[in-house]
Amino acid sequence: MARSSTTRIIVNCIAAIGIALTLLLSAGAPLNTGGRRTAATPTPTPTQVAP
Amino acid sequence: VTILTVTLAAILVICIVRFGSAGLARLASLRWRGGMLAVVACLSQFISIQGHQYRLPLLIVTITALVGFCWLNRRQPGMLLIVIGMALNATVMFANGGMMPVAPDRLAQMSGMQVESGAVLLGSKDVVLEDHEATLPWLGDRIMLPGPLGQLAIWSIGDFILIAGVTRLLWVAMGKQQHEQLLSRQHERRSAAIH
Repeated sequence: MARSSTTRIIVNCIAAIGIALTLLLSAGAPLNTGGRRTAATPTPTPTQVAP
Repeated sequence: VTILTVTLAAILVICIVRFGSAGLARLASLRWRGGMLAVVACLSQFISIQGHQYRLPLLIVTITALVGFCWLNRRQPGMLLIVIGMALNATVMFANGGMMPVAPDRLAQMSGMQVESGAVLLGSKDVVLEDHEATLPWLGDRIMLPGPLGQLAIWSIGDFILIAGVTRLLWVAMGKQQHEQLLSRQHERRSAAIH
């Protein structure tokens, strides 16, 4: 009984924290490169238009 | 992902030290409504970041899902701060084609990379733009923590406000006194709704 209650608490805690993390990730993740250099896509070349 | 996980873990550790294991038990009673909306918002951002296409439509999906989630959970403590932070980030991203502007000098300061203005950073929601090229650049990613922490990430004002909101939410949910006040407020609202 006590064991299932502890399990429930752990599962609920993980769920609550998981949703909080999901919320942070989708709404406000800062830019970080994780210590490595980030590759960047090349800047698109503007189309040349004849005068 | 890593920096946010570490930040959230640090907040949790502080709350656990302050409130003990009883705080965790109280946290377990925290009930999110519409959790799937947060998952949809996160998936949509993930697709946008990995695919580098349809940035604006995917941002609309993300924000719509987040607005729904925040509305369903509007009575949770800290939700006002979360909404403000989210709105600031969304505003600057909408104004810059669905991407978050970051100045080249800030990026160079953090990672040592010299990137031309206009480049989209792979695996992120950011586009490198000089301040005069970006719309509302002061709401973009531009805040660096002091010292070696500055190498970890570049934050926006919205990020900090959001984290403050989540911190308040966890603090209130895990704190005994605050938790009881929250429960009694919810009980009063339910009673008022019945009568």
